[in-house]
Amino acid sequence: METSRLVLAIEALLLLFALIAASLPGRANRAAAAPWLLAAAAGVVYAGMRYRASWPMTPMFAGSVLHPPLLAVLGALSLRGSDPQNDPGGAPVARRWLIAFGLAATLAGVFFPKDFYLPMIKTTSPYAHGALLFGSLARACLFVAGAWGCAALRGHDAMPRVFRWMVWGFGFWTLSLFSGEMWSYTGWGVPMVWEDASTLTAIGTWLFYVGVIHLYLGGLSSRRTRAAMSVLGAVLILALNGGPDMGPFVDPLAVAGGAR
Amino acid sequence: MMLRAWHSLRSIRLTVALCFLLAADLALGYLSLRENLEIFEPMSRTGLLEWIDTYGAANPRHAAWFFAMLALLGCLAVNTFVCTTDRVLYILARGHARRELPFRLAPHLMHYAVLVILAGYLCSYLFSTSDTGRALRPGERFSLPGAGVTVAFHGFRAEVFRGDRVDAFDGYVIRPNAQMTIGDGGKEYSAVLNFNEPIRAGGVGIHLNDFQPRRSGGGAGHNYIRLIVRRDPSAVVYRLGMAMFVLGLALYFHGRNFRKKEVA
Repeated sequence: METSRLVLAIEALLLLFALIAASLPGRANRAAAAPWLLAAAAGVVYAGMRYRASWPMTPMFAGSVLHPPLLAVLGALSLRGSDPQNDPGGAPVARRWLIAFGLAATLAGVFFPKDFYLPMIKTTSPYAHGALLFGSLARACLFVAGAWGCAALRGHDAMPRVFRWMVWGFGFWTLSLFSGEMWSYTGWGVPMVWEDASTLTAIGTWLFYVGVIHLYLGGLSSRRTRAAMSVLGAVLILALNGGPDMGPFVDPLAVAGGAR
Repeated sequence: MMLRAWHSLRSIRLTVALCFLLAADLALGYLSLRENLEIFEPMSRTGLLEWIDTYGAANPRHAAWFFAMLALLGCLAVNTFVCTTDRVLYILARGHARRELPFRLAPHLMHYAVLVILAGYLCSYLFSTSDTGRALRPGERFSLPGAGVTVAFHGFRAEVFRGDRVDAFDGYVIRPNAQMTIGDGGKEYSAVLNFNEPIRAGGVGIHLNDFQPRRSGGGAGHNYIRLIVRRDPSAVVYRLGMAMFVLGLALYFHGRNFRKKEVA
């Protein structure tokens, strides 16, 4: 457990370097690419360690800490089509926020780890794995939408990207909820297991995005309001869905000492 | 009068407001449920009406978010039905090209799917019956009155986890493979029961809830399975709703690409 926490701490440090580099003026901010890529690699290693330590069961409370490498990959994909001629500032702003969202989730995992629970045999279900993996994909997509929402709030032409990534995130979130429901049905015979309170925040977040998508499709509000809602969605995911994945405070320096 | 009510209920602003209110209500519900699991957990066993009469009525402060959720979901269901039906009739009246129609109707298929899922959940909590008190030791059997089903348990053919990769799981039973015989309408057949792999017989779902021993040689001599026996005819309804939603979602994504190609 100490080794995996150390890898997560390294991922957080790399993301911090990437964020500092991304905030530098001019071309210097291109230096963010290397630490961001390395952070994604550390994130993949961390996810592999968490999965290895529980397979064939699902790692417990891992939703918040498994998605940052996916966020890096999808974020990089979203940056690929940006147009530096017509909108030179949009991509750097979005990149800064992509890194910041990944860093926030990773720091929560470093300082408030909840990786000490033994896995449950009932989580061997493919539906349990599906709920976790689709959920991680959904969070990554919705953070990408939030990052481009930050760019749109700064006046950049990013709204089509915000909507596209939000719809993908919503789709994956739905699949995650349905996987969870199928797991509940096969495991307990009921549509919803009341023992896990975080199901409510997952459904609440889904309903929030239903509202935001209807705001977009109905053209009910200004561009600025819609962009702000996509950013608020990312913050809500950190608070409502990341909160249940957080354990008690742990000093990461003490963990590093333990790992040595 | 009816027409005015219909028009006021089809407001998309109302949809957005209800969704945000529901999200806020569920966030409050999380705080309440986390501290009061024992109030809500029996709902799966008692059903909705009995739960409202007992646990809900006895704990109005902790259950307030739940009652608010029921009211908001009811409003959202009516609003979704009116909005969607109105829009579907409009699309059908416009006479779109046949190959374009499924993509145009895809969002509305998702809307109707949500209504089917909500109806399925409601029926499940109103009409299903659940028996969580069944336990069997090897060689024992019981019959389910009304279903014409007998269930016998013979023993385990357990698969055991080996190695130290998962903390404290060395020697732990990872798949119990409970050996069962099911008698259903005069026929008898063998079946294997595991977590997440229920047996269905006579319209009843038999789910493994717990078992002992968890380790080979463990369990302090206890050897048993505990079952959840649940009759829920509406399970098929909400699963149909989910299938409809996934189909609508797939058509929606495909339609976006389709339109992009058409424009190109």
